[in-house]
Order: sequence, then C-alpha cells, then structure tokens
Amino acid sequence: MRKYLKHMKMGMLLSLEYKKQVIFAILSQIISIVIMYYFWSAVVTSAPETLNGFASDKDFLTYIVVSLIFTSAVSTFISFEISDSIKTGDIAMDMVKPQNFILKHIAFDFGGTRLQVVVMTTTLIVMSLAVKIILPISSFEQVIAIIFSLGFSYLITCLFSVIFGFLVLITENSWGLFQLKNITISLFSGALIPLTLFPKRVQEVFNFLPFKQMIFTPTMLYIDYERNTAITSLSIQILWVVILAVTVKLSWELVFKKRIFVVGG
Amino acid sequence: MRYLKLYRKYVVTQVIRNLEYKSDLFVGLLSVLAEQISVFVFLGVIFYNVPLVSGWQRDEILLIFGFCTAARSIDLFFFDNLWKVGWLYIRTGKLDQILTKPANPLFMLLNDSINFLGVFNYFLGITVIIYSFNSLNLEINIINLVLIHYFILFGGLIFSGINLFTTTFSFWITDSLAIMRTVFSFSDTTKYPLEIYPKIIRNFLIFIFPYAFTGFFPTLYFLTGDPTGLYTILVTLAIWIVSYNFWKFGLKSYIGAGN
Repeated sequence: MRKYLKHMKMGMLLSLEYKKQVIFAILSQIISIVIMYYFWSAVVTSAPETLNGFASDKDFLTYIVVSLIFTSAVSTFISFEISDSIKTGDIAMDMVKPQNFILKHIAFDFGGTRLQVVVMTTTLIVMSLAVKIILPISSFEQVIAIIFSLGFSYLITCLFSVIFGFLVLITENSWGLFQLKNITISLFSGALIPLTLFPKRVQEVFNFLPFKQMIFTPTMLYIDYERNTAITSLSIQILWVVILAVTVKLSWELVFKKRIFVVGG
Repeated sequence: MRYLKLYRKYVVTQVIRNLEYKSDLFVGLLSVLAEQISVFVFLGVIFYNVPLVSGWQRDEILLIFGFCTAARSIDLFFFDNLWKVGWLYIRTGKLDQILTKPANPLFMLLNDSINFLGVFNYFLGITVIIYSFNSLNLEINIINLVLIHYFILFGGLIFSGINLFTTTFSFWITDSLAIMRTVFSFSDTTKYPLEIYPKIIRNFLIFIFPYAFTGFFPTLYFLTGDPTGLYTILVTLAIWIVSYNFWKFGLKSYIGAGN
C-alpha cells in the first residue's frame, strides 16, 4: 500500500507544476457547458413535450450541465501513461519492480489528476448553481452517494482505458486509438446525449455495457435521488469494477505479458 | 517558386515517413470516421425525439457539420503543426534549428509534419455536404461546387489564422497549448445554428473569433441566400494579417527556451 501512496504523491507533485493549466481547463469547460446548454435549450423548447425520462425541462438541462462537469471529473490520462511507457520502454523498468503495474499507474493517475478534478468540479458546480442553470442538491446523503458513484465511475473509466492502453502494443498508434475510445465513451456513456433519448431497444443494450456506469449513473443520482435506487446503482457499479478488473488481470496475464517479451526482442 | 519546390520535397518526405506506420494511419482513419458517425448518431437521436430544433431540420444542421469538417481539413493538412509550436519546438529548442535555415520559419515549421488525415476529412466533409444538398433538394451545379470550395478554403484558413494567433503566445510563455485549446473550443459553437445563442455570444463568434464563418454562414447562404457568407474571404484576410504580424512580432522577441 505504501508504495502506491508514494506513486500517488509523485503524481500530485508533478501536477502541482501545472497549476495554471487548471484555470484554462475550467475556462474550456465553461465554454463547452455554455454551448451545450444553449443547444439543448433550443432542443427542449422545440420539443412538443418533456423529453423522455425527465420530469421537467429544468431537470433535463440540469442533466446536460452536470453530465458535462462529471465527464471531466472522471476523465483520466491513464491510457496515455500506459501507452507511453510501452513506447519508451519504461514498462520494462516498471515490471522488474515488486509492484502491480496497473495499480501503480492508477495510483499515479489518481494523485496527478484528482486534486485538479476536485477543484474543477466544485468550481463548476458552484458556478452553475450560482447562475441557476442547474437544480440544487437536496441532502447531504445525496452528496455522499454521488461522490461514491463518481469514485466507481473513475475506476470503471480507468480500467476500461487500461484495456485500450494495452491495444497500443498491437496497433502502434495511440492518438487515433484514444480518439476512438473517447468517442465511444462520450456517445454511449450519456455524456453527449442523455441515454433515455435513445430508442428503447438500444437502451436495453446499454444495460449490458460498462459505458452507462461512467457518466449516466452518477448524473442520474444528482437529478433524481432516492435511497433505494442509489443503492442499486452503486451495487451495479461495483459489479462492473469487478468485471473490468478481472478482464484487465486476465488480459495482462494471458496476452500482454507474453507479447512484451516479443516486442522487447 | 522556390517554396513550391521545397513544399514538394516536404510532402514526399512526409509520405515516406507515413508509409512506415501503416497501421497508424489506418487507426487514424478509423477514428476520423468514428467521429463523423458519432455526429450522425448525435443528430439522429435528437431528431428521433424532436422534429425541429429552432426551426432547423436534421439535414440542415448536418450541412453545417459538413462544412465544418471539410474546412477543418484545410487546417489539418496544412497547419496542424501549429499545435506543436510550444511543446515540440520551443521547449525542446527545435525552433532554433529551424531559424538557422534560409527560408520562412513559419513555412518550415508548418511542413515539418503533415497530417494526411486532412485529405480524408475533406472527402468525408464533402460527402456529408453532398448528401445534405441532395436531401434538402439543393442544386449541385458548377457554381455551387465552386462556392462550396470557396467556403471550405477560406473557412479552413479561419481555424488556422486563429490558431496561429494563439500559438504565438508560446514565444513568451513557452507553451500556449492550454490557451489554444480554450480558444479552439469556441469552434464547437458553430456546429449549431447561430440563432440558438444569445446576442453577446453571437457577436463574439462573428467579430472576435469569427468561427461562425466556417460552417454557419456558408450553410445559411445555401439555405436562404443570405449573402454574409460571401464575405468570408475578407474575414480570413483580416485574421491572417493580424495573426501573421503578431507571429512576426513574437518571433522577434523570441530568445530561446534555455537561459
């Protein structure tokens, strides 16, 4: 455990070097929130009735803004870290040390990005509340549930990204691959479009994919909180963490470890 | 003339370099394609729920996207390296190497690597434009084709002109990628009809960062005959005069990243 805390601290120290970046990241976020807010407002006012799955237009627009903020809250650079260490050969050094390669990278990423993310998310939520484009949270319990849910979302996103990071060994391309990953996630996680707007059949498919757990689940906890549904949602998220962790472990043991020796020569 | 010859050399080198990484290019193509598919899905899902968005049909908005994509191709193909000025050229000192050579530094820097995905982007954008033209019953004749390319060319140069301006800050702060990204995120605004925004944002997109000329005004021209889009060339010129002079000024005050 101690060694992973060290990695976490290292990531955090490194990120403190780039304090100014946070301001610009927040600015970019504000711009995209403004764009999407106005676009979806136009959609909502053009809709003959309240859009599927939401109680009111206000609820819907809250979803749009909150989901955008949460998207940056669970974002991770871990696939870059992993593909970089594959390209530069750092991975060999990582592997000879008595540590779990993936845990090391998750710890490093966690330390490196969480501080920024907490600052960013809080700023954006407070700002959105101040200009009244989102509805307020009703209880402290809800806040706790959302934080937990975001934590699981982050883990799910990380583990999914790790799998993509591994793919670099096969494709040798990282930029296009990660672009592909980001597009898939934004489309199917509810970040770009609330999943309730998809046709019913498609929505059923989403229940069997991990993407829904990344953005849609925590955002829905913000919009519509009820203790029982929260418990169910969190359990499903935990289930996905386990499924993905096992997948990562298996692909690491069965495929990846063997291939590395080949690439290393 | 000398620059044309030089440019040919650059392209040949770049083609050879890219052929080394075939799978790289393939995945790149796939990702560009996926991006367009996500646009189709995005608009498809919205219009599955709503018949019109502030009076706009799906294919009209698709046409804006088509123009944006095709215009971006010019920027990707010729000016993609602007994104790397800070972290790849100034921070590493690679720029000093370029400055010692007897040709325009901006020209050499731009062609140091060429993003061939731009070509693919162009064809995708054109396909989307022609598809929308067909479904909206707009006529595709020689004049319109010329006009479409006029919009694509000068719209594309707007992206690059603004990027040139923001990347120039790198001369003082070493890496202006964050500023660049922030300003560039405004370009997303023009993928949607301008009238959905409040007046202040609209003016901002016309007069400050005129991204409205990359997708919205060209589309408006074909849909309603509104002539604003025809002035794109003037906007582009204005941006480039400002940006290029700012760049030259920045280059003069550049003293290298070391100490």
